[in-house]
Amino acid sequence: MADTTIAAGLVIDGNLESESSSRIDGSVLGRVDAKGAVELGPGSSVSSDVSGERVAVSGHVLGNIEARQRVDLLAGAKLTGDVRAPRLTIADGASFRGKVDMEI
Amino acid sequence: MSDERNARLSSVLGAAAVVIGNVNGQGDVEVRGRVQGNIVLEGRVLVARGGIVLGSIEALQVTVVGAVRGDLVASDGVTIHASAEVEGNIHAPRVAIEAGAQIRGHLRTEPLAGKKAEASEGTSAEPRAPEPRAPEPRASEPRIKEPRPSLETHAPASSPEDRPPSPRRTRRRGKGGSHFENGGAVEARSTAAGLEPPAPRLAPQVPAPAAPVPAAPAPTASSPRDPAPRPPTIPTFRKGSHGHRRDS
Repeated sequence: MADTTIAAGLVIDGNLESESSSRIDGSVLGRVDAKGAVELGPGSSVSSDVSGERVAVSGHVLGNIEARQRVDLLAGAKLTGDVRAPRLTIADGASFRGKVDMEI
Repeated sequence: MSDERNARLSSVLGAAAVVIGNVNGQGDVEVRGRVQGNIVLEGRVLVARGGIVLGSIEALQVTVVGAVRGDLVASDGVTIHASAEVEGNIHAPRVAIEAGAQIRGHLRTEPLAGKKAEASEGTSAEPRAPEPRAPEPRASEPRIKEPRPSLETHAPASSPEDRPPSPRRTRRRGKGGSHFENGGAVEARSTAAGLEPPAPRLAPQVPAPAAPVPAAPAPTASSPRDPAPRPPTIPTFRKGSHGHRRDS
């Protein structure tokens, strides 16, 4: 159970920072910066960068994603931006446009 | 209706979360972390213990257990718990404040729609909500009631009597607190004194000759107001002023 849950229908008109994990099903019109896991559910939308320990995307992200451990673009995800993470998965049905830097 | 509320989506801003910006939309929100911005929601907001909101909150219902530095506006009601700290104005038709809460701001128990017409007739019975009504609203309100003299005379939610609006009444505004306890007595004095010229306010000595002119109860009724007894002593006239006294 994530520390922070943004339900569908909620709009954060600004940045969201968290020391723990977050699950977002609503909209964030700014950055999401978490020290823990970030889960962007289907129907979610983030209009700027996302950073976290592990980032799993099922919604729309218009910005870069940076994770310390891994990034997973699940089916239905739509990412327009770059990815920086040591591990990355792009599921069948995910949409991605950007650069990937896995810092090998 | 409760089913709808249960099905309403609920968000939690965890204790480790900080939102720098506003929170809008639908659904309920529980703030356990920090929000540096305003919350405008078509739902319920709970500022949990440890939660801090630095901005105003406008929602259907607002419950504060933590801290808020901003206004609280609710179309349903505001509940402030004992551990809460609120620095801002509160405007809701129902407000419940637990003993121990720390609050600084203005309180208005009025429906939001009536915000524009604070002293209008529509609010005469309604905002005297059955819920605990903090004494602050009435103490700060009297200055608004000037065009509605009937409202001043009643604390409880009873229908206001119609009293002849006496110009003296508005000057009694300063004694806002006394409306509750001595409502009747204040009226008696002002009504009796209403027939006198306004001179009593300005120069206490002058009305002594004017006292016998109106009804007999006037001198006795106004005695509490005038510390000195009011015998027909010779007043201190200024030169030429006696010719302009109204009673002559």
